[in-house]
Amino acid sequence: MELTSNEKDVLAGLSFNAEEIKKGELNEADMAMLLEMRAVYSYLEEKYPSYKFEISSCDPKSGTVKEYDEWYFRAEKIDRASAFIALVTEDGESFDIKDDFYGEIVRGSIQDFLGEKLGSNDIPVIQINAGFWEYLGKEYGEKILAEDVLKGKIPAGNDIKIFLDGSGMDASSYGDVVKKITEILKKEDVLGEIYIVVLKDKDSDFAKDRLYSKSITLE
Amino acid sequence: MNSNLTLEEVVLINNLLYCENLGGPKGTFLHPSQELRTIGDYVKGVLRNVDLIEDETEYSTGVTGAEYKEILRAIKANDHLKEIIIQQVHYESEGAGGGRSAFLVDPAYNEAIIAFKGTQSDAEWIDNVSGLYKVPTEFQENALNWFKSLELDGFDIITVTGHSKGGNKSKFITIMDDRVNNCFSFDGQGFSDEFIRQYSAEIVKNRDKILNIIAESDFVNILLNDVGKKQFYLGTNFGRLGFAENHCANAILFFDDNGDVSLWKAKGQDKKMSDLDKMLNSFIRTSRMNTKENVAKMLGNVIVSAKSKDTDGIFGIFSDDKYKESAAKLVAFILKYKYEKPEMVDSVKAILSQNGFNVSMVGVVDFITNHEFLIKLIGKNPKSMIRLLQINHAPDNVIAFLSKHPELFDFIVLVSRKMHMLTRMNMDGDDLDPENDVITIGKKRTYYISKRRVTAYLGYLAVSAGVAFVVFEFFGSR
Repeated sequence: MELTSNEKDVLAGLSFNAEEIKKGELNEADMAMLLEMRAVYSYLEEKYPSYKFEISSCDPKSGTVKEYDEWYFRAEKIDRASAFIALVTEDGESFDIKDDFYGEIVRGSIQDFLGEKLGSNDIPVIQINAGFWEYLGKEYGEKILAEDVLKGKIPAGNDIKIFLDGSGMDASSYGDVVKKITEILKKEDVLGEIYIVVLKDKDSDFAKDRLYSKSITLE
Repeated sequence: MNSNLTLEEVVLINNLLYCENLGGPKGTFLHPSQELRTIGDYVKGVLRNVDLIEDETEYSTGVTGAEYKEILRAIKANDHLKEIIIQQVHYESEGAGGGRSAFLVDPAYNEAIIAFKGTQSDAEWIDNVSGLYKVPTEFQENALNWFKSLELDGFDIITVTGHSKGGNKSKFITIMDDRVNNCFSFDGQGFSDEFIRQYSAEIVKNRDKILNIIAESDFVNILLNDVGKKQFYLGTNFGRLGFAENHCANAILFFDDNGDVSLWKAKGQDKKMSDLDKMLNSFIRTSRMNTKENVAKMLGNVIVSAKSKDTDGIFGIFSDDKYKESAAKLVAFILKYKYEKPEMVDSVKAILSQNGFNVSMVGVVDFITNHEFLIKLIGKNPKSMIRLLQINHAPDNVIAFLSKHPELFDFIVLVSRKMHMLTRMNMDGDDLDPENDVITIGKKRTYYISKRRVTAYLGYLAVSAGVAFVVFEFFGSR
């Protein structure tokens, strides 16, 4: 059986039959993992044709209470220490696959849009981090629109963190700032979990120099 | 050790790492969207959806929704833990990874806490047992590389922790990186003799920073040589997984009526586990270096099958061409080991029965292999063997099982042969002490020799010299 070097490396990390796998001799379980790995690779290529991916490893469901295998992958030219993940459940004879890579496509636009809206309303924004709780399937390809995600037309489970410069605020005004941010976001039909953190000043450490934090949910 | 975390807090953090999908995706602690939230924010968010957490559902191996609720409520009541910030969540992106970890910051004491989740899948055992013949393993190297990539310069205290394989990773990092101040390894396995020899200087330098927190009946920490101080704790119960629950991260957490959590020190390790620990060490030391990889993989396969109570799987390994030699060596070793340490058979039986296995088979294998001449006489004739067992009143289910698995007769003959060949056993099952058991020879640490071997060798030389002297005196005087 012909295997790429990437396939050999990944499968060898999942099986006690590493030597046989290096020679292309796969047992039934190894073969099942290979088919799944190839399905994940095809799914990613088809869903995101402008990107190149490499699967780095897998956390299989075998021996756990999970109902899905988690395939870890990297994307070429995207500098990120942490892997992306594709979840695979067996759906009869085919695989149901979802992934979290779409976040990489929409994150920048969402952060820029929110930064602009809040900044133009005199909110002292230091940084906005957009994240997403959900894994999405092939129905949302690389042409996914940031606006659809932000407004909840696509159920990504938005998670937006807003870090503010508190040097010009006094403690009694934090509640008012949160209220103002909520109004601005509601006006823009933004949905999701919003986490607002007031830091000492613009050079503050995000973990050590916090003055205030508040979570709100826009539904 | 100078961490500001209590041991209860360390164990609670390690439990958080396993929280997945508690009431929905926001209930996953190691999710990138948790970054820059506090632990308190996470707990508050999950408890907001507490009705969606099903009490009876297992959300990670052996830990139910009801148990996670107890854990989360204990954290909610802990003001110190709640203020700790989840600085970074990491999914290992290098090969052979799959590991997840978190970089936490305690702003109250400027303490960095790096926590490694143990992997629970069967695949983890591939790396676990590779620790027998690889120094270091890929999982260990990946963890160290990520640790080195973190910005840790501004912190007053650096603490690493982890459960199971995560515990092993945290010990490895502490040995290899002098910046670490504290290591809390929770039920983490140890290191091979080769590792202890290769890194003896580093281990001696850093081992005082390591505390092993161990459930008294945990079965993962017994693998290989431990490093650092060990403290055993009482386990709470045997739940739906039975004995296997001893390795769950919540196994040592006791909650009182108010939901407050505490750990209770045990007098020591469960005797069954310390017996098994010593026997495994002895077996590994008796194995030749060039066969250790095969032995390790065979052990890994046996453990994976045992975990899922797959008796057929275990006997499949015994008849697999690739592993039957090593498996026969293991069984032969256990059976010979019992002559020196007869209590071991009882310990193995107790562990197997607590795991739901039929232990009558142990007695049968014991009986058969005690009668080598009968085996030679009968050879590989299953019918005669079964007849012999019937005469000796072996249980019906064992006879039925053996009748169904004729391939096992070959294995039994092989075990008998291995027993005959096994003339030299290394009975020293104690963990190696890098200071007292290892002597380093050569500047580049190219050669190592065990002090025990030196002592034995010196003893041998002394006896030889004594004999030579007596012989010389006896014959010389004539």
